[in-house]
Amino acid sequence: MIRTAPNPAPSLRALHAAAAIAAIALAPLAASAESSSSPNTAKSAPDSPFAKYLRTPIQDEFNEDVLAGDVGEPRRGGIVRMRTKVDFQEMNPITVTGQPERVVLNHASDALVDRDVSTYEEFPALAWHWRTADTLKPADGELQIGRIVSRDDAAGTITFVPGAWTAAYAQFDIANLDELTHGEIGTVRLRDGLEAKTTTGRIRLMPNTVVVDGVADPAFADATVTYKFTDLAVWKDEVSKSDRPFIKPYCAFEFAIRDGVTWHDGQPFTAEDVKFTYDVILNPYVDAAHLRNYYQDMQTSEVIDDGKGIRVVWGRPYFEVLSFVAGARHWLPKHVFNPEQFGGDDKAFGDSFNKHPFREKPVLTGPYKFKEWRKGQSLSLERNEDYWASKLPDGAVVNWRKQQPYLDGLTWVIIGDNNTAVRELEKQALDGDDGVEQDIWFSDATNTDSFKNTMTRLQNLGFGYVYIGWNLMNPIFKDKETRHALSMLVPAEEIAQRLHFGLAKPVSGPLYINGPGYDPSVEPAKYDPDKAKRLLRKAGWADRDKDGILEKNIDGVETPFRFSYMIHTAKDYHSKMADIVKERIGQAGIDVTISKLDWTIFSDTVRDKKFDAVRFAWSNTLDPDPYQIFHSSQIENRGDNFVSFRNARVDELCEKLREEFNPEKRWEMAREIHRIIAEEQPYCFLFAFYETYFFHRNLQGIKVYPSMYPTNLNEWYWAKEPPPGAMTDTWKASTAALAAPTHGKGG
Amino acid sequence: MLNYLIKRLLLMGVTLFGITLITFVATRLTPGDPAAAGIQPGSSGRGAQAVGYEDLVEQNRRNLGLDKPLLINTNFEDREFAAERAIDDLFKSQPMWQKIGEKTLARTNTIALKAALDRYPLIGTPQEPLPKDSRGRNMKARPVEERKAVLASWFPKLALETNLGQGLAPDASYEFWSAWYEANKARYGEERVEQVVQAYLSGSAPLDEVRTAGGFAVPALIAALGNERTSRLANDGLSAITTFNFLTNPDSWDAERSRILERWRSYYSREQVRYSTYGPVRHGLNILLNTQYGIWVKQTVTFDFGESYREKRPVREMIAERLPISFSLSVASIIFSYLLSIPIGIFSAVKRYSAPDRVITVILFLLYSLPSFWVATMLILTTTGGPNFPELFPTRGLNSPEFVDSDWTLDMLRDRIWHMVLPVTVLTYGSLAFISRQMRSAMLETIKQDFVRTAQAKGLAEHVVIFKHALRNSLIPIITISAGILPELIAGAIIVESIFTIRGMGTLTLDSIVNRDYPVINAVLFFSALLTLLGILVADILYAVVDPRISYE
Repeated sequence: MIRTAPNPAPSLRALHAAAAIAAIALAPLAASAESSSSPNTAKSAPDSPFAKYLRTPIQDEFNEDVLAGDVGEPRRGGIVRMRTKVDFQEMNPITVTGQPERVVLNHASDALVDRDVSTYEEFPALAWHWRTADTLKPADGELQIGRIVSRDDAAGTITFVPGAWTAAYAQFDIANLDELTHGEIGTVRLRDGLEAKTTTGRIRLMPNTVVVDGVADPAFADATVTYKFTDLAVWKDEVSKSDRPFIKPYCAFEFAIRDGVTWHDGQPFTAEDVKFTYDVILNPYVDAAHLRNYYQDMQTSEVIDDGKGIRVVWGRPYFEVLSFVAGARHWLPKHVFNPEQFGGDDKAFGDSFNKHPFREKPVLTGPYKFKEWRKGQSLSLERNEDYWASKLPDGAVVNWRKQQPYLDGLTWVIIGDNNTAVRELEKQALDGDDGVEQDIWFSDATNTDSFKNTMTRLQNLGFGYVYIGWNLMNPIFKDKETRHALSMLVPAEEIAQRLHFGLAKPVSGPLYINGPGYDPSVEPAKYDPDKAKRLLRKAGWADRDKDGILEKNIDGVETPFRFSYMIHTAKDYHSKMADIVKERIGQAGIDVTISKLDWTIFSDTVRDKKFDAVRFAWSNTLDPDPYQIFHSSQIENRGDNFVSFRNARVDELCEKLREEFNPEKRWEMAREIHRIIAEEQPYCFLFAFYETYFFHRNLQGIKVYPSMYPTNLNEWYWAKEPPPGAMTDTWKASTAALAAPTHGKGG
Repeated sequence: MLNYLIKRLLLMGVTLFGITLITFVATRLTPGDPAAAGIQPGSSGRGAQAVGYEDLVEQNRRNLGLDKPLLINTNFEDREFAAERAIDDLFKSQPMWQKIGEKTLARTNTIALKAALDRYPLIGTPQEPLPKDSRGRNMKARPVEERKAVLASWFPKLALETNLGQGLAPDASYEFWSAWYEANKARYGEERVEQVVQAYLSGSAPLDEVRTAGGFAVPALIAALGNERTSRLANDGLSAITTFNFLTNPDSWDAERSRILERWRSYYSREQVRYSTYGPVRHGLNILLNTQYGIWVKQTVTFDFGESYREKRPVREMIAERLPISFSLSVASIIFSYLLSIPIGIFSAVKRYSAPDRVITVILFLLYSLPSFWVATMLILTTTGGPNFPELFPTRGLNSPEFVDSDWTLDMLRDRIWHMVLPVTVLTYGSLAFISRQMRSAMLETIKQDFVRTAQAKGLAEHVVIFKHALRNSLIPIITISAGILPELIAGAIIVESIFTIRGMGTLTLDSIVNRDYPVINAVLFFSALLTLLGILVADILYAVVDPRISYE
């Protein structure tokens, strides 16, 4: 039994009524207008700094119907049945570790502060407003929250405004948006009833949000305090083993929780739930080690403003902190778990939490809620009719419109076998597959006319990249020229063509190829055996004993150029590539042996650094942070820098980059890291893969974003008649309601 | 016969024990750490800075009981051991460990005081035992000065005397508290603790008196929880000592009593080791029992395979769900292969070297050499519909969606059989060739025997000779094979179940191995071993039934 949701805040209710009139008309919407349909978008919002790196999301460009202008209108109804390869492990958003599970959960949950995938800008979601500040600790006093105004290194002083914050609001919530000018000081007035507080400061107009830097508030003019460096506590950075001076920028956060948000069981969502979630993650007995990692620097979290807000203080400046603290979609309903009964017994709570039935049927806040999970068969979500964002007017929440989500339900069908999946797609018993294997993509079955007439085929360049890592602890890989020569002996382009059918793009460095950290002026290594041989000679390699294998005198020892190339057995093409690598490198007089290992053993061996050369792959993020893979602190403790790459400048840049809050400056550092790493060649960088998808042709609204989660089913709709298994009464009704004549069956 | 059966059953027990040892050793020797399974460092390119990957794995190991030695545990795990381990945790440089150590120390308090005082003078000396992980590797420790300062700061908290000895430097604090401990250690004596607790429970001593005994009083207080008269007092005492408060509202004791008692019991049964000390007998037993293998054997003997690391539910439940599914497939496949292969075998033996026999032989050899994954894929491609092929059978599962939760009705049964056709075919065709070849050669063997010639010479009809005299004798080798078929079907089911998306034992085996889910692997292997042994036993009994010459007296 689902309780009806409590009414939204009074002012929102008024807006709601006003917008209801518009909703009846249901005017046809051009797909391109979707992200900016807010009724009062600021007139001169400057572009997000990410804009030039964000390719416009692919918008049905793969679909001939779309190209012909035959897109159909968003309409509600129908379900979508997606294929997934293995059964889901669990659905508790805190303990789950898999990517497929996250994709499902993303459609059933919300973030406090979300990111607009088309601008990469943060905007308020479950928190309707948030603010950030710096922290400072006097040598003999309490931690203070406020903003730094200026710093005078010559005089050794810092000027600080206690209590000042930088606040962010959704543009929609600002009543006097027209009066605000970018870069000037102004006072933000909120829509009636939203909390009648005003904030003054320097205004920054963003496409979705307005940021107010409170330091510029005249009210703070007299409140500034000047500290001498010597009076401030120095913070010790455990990781880089250095003393950091005095302040931690952007380490305090406050979030105001939106009224009227309810869990799927009808209970209100509160700041207590957020606090509870933080506590659960930090409980050492909860199976969330993978998340706990990110939250180790959380110093305090407390509920403020009578349960309407939450304040978090972080221990280390890092540009990603906001996305850790508020960007995740994993909030837990405290009332379901009833933590009080455990009286502080962490272990008892952890044990109970880890196996709570919540892991099979979670109660969340998102646009879809859990309906049924048939183990080994399928998992279904159904539309949450009480979804909070759908009760707000269009534009109140970025990228969300009242009639969303369009689909009545989402089903993931578990089909392990690739051929079975193709068969189900052909029979229209499946509506999409977002993890199509390369050989299936090129198989005859998926290239017939009848298949292409029912399914659209789409490819998208993925975030990850494939490489061969050289173990730099091995003396034969010690010098740079040898590594460059090896890279020139691996025919990346040819492998991409022959083994991956061209579904791979050569890269020159470790960062996302279309992202801001990738320096396009660095060329990927070209296959050039002659040049490679010259380089090898230069590096001191020569076949002195005429046995066909090069030798070099390394530290007084005549060492033959011989190494093992390690791969894992998950995919067929790994061995095929290994054969090519062995042959081509072998032609230059280097003896390569291939060693194949099962994945778990493989990853253990890599972590123990017991390899010479290894084929591996990393995933990336749009906003680059190479620390984890290339900082020298990550060599020890079985860290991810398992090739033992050590470069003082890269270390310095990796550390600085994490604490740089200006994206342009941060990316300049990332590009420098890219150049240094390309020059040092600790890896032979190979290529990034294209991901391939099949979708039913009658589905529209599909976009593919440069993100870890490239698709968002909340935007999809059946523009033409769905196949019988995906048809619902809602679709028939909404189609009848549309004045436009219905289209016949696709194809 | 009965004697033989009993002997066989006893031998089965011993064999199973041997199998558990082998599977245990095999699983532990395979590379790949199950404690690391849930932790995926580095897949997203960020994080993993404040906590090392190894720390998280180590913590997981502890949570899963994988920190215990494999076969022999010479750590006498009792309260002293627990106190020392908590101090170790406190000394690790990761805040995560420090917090775990702090919580343990706060709960056991006085018990750890002696360990802390003993440890302090060692800090910074070569004799100091530095924190190690469960594989004996050193872990990152806090600097010497910090270790001294933090341990010194715990002395008053461990003695539960926060008013004493404040404001002292670490070394001075150590002096002060060792002197204090010498003067006051009588209060931790067993008899005196017992007296104080009894006095408190009978109302003649205040709560503060019990608090002075601290963690030492916990076992006695737990014992007193059971008595209705003293349970409230015991609860208050425990809360004061351990800092847990399970009572949400001071006035609602009666309402919450049973729940609170349950909480204390579960806490104590789990953490008993922190409060108890054992006699030599118990220690002796623990050398063998308090090990990973000890726990493994205990689970096997009680048929309680513990909880799956991955699914967090009892393994027994998972097996109970999956076994009937695989079993129905296997039984159907066995029945069909025998029903078909015995007549085929007889036919080819009787008509040996004739054209039909040769054709059958070729076909059977072809079938036998086709890999089942290929046949399964071909069947899916050609018989499950699509643009060029007829839709004869479903592609996956054991039931259509509408029948998944249905009761056993005729429609449901029909649907089930329709779904089972392809998987059973794939499971059957291989053994079909194998068994019918066996049948053929056994039949040929028998036909050459003198008694068959005698029967033929007597002028008996051919079918009487074959079916009455030869058949029964030639069945014996076929029965031997049947013992091997059961476990083989489970192995074959791994492929078939994966391809047809059936949730049986095969997919369970595969998943558990891939995920290093030890409890499940243990259970699955145990069950296959059990099935194999049962198969052999049944075959032995059938021998006697089929062949009157064989008896087990």
